[in-house]
Amino acid sequence: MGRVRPEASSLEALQREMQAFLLGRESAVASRVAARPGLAPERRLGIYRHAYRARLADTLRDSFGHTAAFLGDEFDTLAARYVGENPSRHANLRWYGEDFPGWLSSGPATHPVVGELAALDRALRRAFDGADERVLGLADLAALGAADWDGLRLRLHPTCARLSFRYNTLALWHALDRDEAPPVIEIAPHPVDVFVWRAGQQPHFRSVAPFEACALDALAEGLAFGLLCEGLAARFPETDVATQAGGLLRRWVDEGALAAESPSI
Amino acid sequence: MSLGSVHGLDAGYLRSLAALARRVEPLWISDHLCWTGVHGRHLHDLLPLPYTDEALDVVVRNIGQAQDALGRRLVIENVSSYVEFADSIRTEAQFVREVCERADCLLLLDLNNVHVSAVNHGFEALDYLREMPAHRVRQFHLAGHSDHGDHLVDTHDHPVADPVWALYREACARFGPIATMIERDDRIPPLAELVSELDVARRIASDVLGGPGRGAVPWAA
Repeated sequence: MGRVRPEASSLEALQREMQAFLLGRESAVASRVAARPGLAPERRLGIYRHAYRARLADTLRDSFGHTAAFLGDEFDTLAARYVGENPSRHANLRWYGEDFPGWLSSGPATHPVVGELAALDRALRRAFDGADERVLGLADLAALGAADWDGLRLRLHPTCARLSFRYNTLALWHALDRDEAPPVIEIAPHPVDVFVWRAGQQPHFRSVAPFEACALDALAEGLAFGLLCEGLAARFPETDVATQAGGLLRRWVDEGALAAESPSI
Repeated sequence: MSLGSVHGLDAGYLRSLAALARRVEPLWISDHLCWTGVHGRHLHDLLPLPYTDEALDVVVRNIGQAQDALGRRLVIENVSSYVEFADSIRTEAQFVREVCERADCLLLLDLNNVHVSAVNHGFEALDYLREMPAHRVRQFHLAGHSDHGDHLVDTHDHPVADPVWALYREACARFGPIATMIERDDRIPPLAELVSELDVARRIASDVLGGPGRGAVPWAA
């Protein structure tokens, strides 16, 4: 650090105090602002504080577009509260609000469907801007020998996500996406398992049956294909696991949901 | 990069930036002369520095670290500001010039930012231009701001204002043919409006520099 000793630094104190002011905490920074004609120091500093809050609230509104459309003005109130409680910890605004869905579900949202809707918004955004890894193709699988299949360990592409909803969140999302009136919010007859992935440049999602949800979760845990099938056979004894699992594998490959750089390929 | 942060630069971020630079081989790499957060917090704004010896040392050290990591000279851009600090012993322009000389870096003059800060702090924009090291200037930025009566806010979402065009004319005369970019971050108008702004920039550059083809090629971004 050369000549600069942060613990004794006037600059360090200034930056710490100004940051505290922007974050809405107690701060002595106003006393260090030079007097100039026109605006008083507090109003000058207030421009920065306003900009900080507005920028993060805009980021939430952008990242959680369907949630914002559903909540209307209530979203602005919740976003302002979240921004006040949660400073940004990443240089990239992409990551701001990563725990917003969990925060909403922990009490601030008036209905639990809001947290589910926000989780879907987040998963779709993560699918959109996720890493550009090569996806597994049929040619990669065709190159495998018969002996390779049992120990084959596949990996989901980093743009994929699995969600589970208690409410009719998918119907709500579709209605909001089409600018239609939201449906009556109700608990679904069964929990709705959802798979999110990216095809080309476009995020997609679909609900999945329990068999596929189980298979996807086993994949996410890193289980080898043989073990994955054994687990499915135990859980779904009435199902022709080999045929069904083969069909799913083909579907995931077609959807671009598997990473080419899988552990055993 | 937060070139003004007292704790130095984020080495991981610098490595990523260096990898990106190897991939896209940009003509210049520029960043703002400001800080954006300390102690692991990010404020996502271009925050002003005090123009002190200590801040000068910090910025020169940080630019040196960035230039070493990137293997090239940085282009430093002036920011708009709303506060100046009582500790300052230099003007902003003197500070910018000393940073450039001591760090041996290049300069991107955002003329809208010069104007916004000049109005907000009551200095003369032309004095600022006179202080700049002409041989280091590599690019001009032009942009709009919003006028709040007793102060200006740098929003980059309006057309370039008349005083900024006047400053551009002075800058062309002073620094010669310099690549120029019009920035519009939000409220993007129809393309024809942007092109007509570009025509204004070209006309001014051509008036001052004696016709097109002398190297100043303003474009919009």
